[in-house]
Amino acid sequence: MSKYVIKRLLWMIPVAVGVAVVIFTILYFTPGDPAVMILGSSATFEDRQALRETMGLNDGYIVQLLRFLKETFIEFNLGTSYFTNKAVTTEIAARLPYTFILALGSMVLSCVIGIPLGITAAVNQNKLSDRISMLIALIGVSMPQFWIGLLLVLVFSVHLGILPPSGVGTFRHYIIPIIATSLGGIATQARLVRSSMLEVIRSDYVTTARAKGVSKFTAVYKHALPNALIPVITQVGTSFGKTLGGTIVIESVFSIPGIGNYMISAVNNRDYPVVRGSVVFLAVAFSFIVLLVDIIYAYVDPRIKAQYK
Amino acid sequence: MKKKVLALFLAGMMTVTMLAGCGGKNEDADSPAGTTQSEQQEEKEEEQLNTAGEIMAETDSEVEAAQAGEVSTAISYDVSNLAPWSSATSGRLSLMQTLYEYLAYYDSESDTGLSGILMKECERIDDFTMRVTIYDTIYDSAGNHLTAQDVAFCFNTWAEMGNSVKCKLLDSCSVVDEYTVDIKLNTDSVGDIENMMCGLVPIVTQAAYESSDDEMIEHVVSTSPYIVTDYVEGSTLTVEKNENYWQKDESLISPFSLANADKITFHIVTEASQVSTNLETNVVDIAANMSSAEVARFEADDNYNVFAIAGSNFHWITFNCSEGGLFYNNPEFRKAICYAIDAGGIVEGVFNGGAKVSKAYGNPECVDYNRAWDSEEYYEYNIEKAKELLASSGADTSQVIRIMYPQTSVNKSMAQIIQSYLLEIGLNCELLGYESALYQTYKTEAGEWDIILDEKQSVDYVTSLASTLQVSGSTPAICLVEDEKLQELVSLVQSNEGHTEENINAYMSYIKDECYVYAICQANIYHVTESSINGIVTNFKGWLLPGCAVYTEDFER
Repeated sequence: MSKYVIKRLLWMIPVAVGVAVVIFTILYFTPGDPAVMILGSSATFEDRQALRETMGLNDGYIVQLLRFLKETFIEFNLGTSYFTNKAVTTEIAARLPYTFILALGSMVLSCVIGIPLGITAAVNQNKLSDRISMLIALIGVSMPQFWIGLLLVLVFSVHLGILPPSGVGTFRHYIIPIIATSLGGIATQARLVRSSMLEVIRSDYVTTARAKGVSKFTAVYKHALPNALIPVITQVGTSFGKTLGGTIVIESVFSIPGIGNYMISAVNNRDYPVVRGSVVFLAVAFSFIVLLVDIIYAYVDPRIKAQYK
Repeated sequence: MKKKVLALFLAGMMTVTMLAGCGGKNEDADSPAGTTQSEQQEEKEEEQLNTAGEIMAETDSEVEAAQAGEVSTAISYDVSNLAPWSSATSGRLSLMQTLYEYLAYYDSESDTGLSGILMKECERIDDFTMRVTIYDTIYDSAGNHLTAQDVAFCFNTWAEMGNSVKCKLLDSCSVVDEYTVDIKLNTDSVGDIENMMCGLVPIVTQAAYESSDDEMIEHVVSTSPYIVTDYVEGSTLTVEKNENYWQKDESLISPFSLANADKITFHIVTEASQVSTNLETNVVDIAANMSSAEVARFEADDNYNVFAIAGSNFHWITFNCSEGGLFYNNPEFRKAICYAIDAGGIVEGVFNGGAKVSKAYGNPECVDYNRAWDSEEYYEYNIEKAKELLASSGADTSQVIRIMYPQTSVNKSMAQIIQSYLLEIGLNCELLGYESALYQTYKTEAGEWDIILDEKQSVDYVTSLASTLQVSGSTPAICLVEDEKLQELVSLVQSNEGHTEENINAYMSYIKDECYVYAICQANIYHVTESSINGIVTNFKGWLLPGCAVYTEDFER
């Protein structure tokens, strides 16, 4: 197993370098000039050129790319923001906790609600509770996050006055954003668990267990559920990784100073070091999460664990 | 005289604006039965005019002010960097005058048109040079004494950093004696020294700046009456009153350096609807720069005060007059477009009436704005005339006109309305909304657009906007035209010597005759507060200063 983990860790190096090259290339060829954004629209062409020169943006593609790769992977320096003059690593470190809380809370809530919903639907297939569960799932997956978020603000902040509408001061600030972020996850989990459970509870070993007198509860929760949850683990892991870099709208709506908010303003300002650094960071973080998922996968599924030996 | 009138305007902009709702009650509910729609409209317009008058009238009234404890303010822009001389973003600009002090502010009462914040007195040496003497009692919050050496350091460092296009105009800032400096420009440019002194170069001590481990990006040390005590990037900024503020003589404290609240927390709320929600749920007491769409629901509510300030930003369109462009050498075609656009309709449709139709390419409140322009004909909406001009222009009406604009909700709405107006005269338009960086890149590329829709700030002189029409080095005029006469006029009105009424009229007439640019309207800025806040102060660019607001005894957090 350790051999496998080391192998996977080594694989992350080309993945991170590949992502770095791709994001650098995309940004290099994307129209838009950071010098204009810094100097303002009144700046002359000569002013912009002078600033571009000092920023090293007039160098050729290869020169800039190699400089970026050297700084990132040899010096472990993600660069400095053109606008804030702060180190990108410092900024990411400052903003990561906010996004992490949002992603973690959303993941936990998705599991806590989505999995029981899926089990209920599967165990009561085609009954009323199945229909209701799947209706909830359908609604959850259909509604845009920001819209449901704003509705929740209207109810819980404006009318009931029990939760703050935006900001990050306390845990209460995260409740609405977490609910809004997790709705899609809840729906996905419920549908995934339902289909997975339906497949498992029809298996011979579950039928055998029931025939041997095992109660329905035990058959479902002890025998069927662990096997049904294997695909769910993958889904939970990848959605957690995606949430780390993909809560831009929610962060923006709820004024959460997370990585998504940071990246979107950097993209708009053509703050190349921030965009490149954040993407490389998220790629590495995502790789780690996928690795973690695979390790967990191996532990819960003996068949996969056997392959690593 | 010129400076004096400029000061009058700018002082007006920063005046304490006293309590006055800007829209009044719901018109429909209060309308008498049988009143026609047009009558209701007339009543509404009259009420708005009266309300605007009341704002000015109450400006002079005495209001019993009280020291507030903690105040929360929502600002609509991310700040990202608190350093004094970084590039100007909206978020930074909204806080600069709370975090730092400038040398001076525009003041109509002063002979020079300026009054001091840090400056004790000033004297214009020539068109290029201003001699400034500062108070000898200035200390920053870390106890460093501010001298002329520090002022020179600030100006010269600001210029070296080059984060503003104005930086290159500074020739030098040299020390004359311990408390006196000479600020010298390298070009004869109207209003730029004053602009640097009042809004471009915040002053700090060299000792504090050099001892800062982050160039004051987060840890600000300044002479301001407020000290930064907490900053969560992208979320909140908290400042507290500096009990050892250097200016002990209350009569000499500038209107921008008041500290009427002990503690101010700025909440960064970038989502427009959330700004109003934060105000409604008492998370904040003041919502600065609220969007006109959100303001309506506070106007009829007695629990809030809505302060409408004539904005210095106005919206305009320009035409691609480059060789090969649709509008090349065809002023009739350009005029046809202008006559087809109903600026009044845009004011109502986009700004809910919270804007003023423009009559010239410049802010009417500017010192050199000629009131005679208001009564002159300025492309008043006339669809028949537009059709006539279009026919006589010989323009190819089968071509699709590309309207490019920076992607904002206001610009998008305006572009859509203009598209429908132009359809009425048989012109099809394609709307190209780009995010800012892309827009800035494309606007100098002749092949990318036919009409640009944008907004521009004009705070001191209408001729400051002439720079947009100026060919500078390899940078073309905004309308991409090569016109020697235009360039002569532009250069003339931008210099101190050529900045005469006659030349300005000639310049304005010429751009109107050639129809290089068409100013549409000037939108209001809205600041909304709880009703226990009786007045607000904005600086000359319209940014709200919560520390200077007028709080009543009823105010409580």
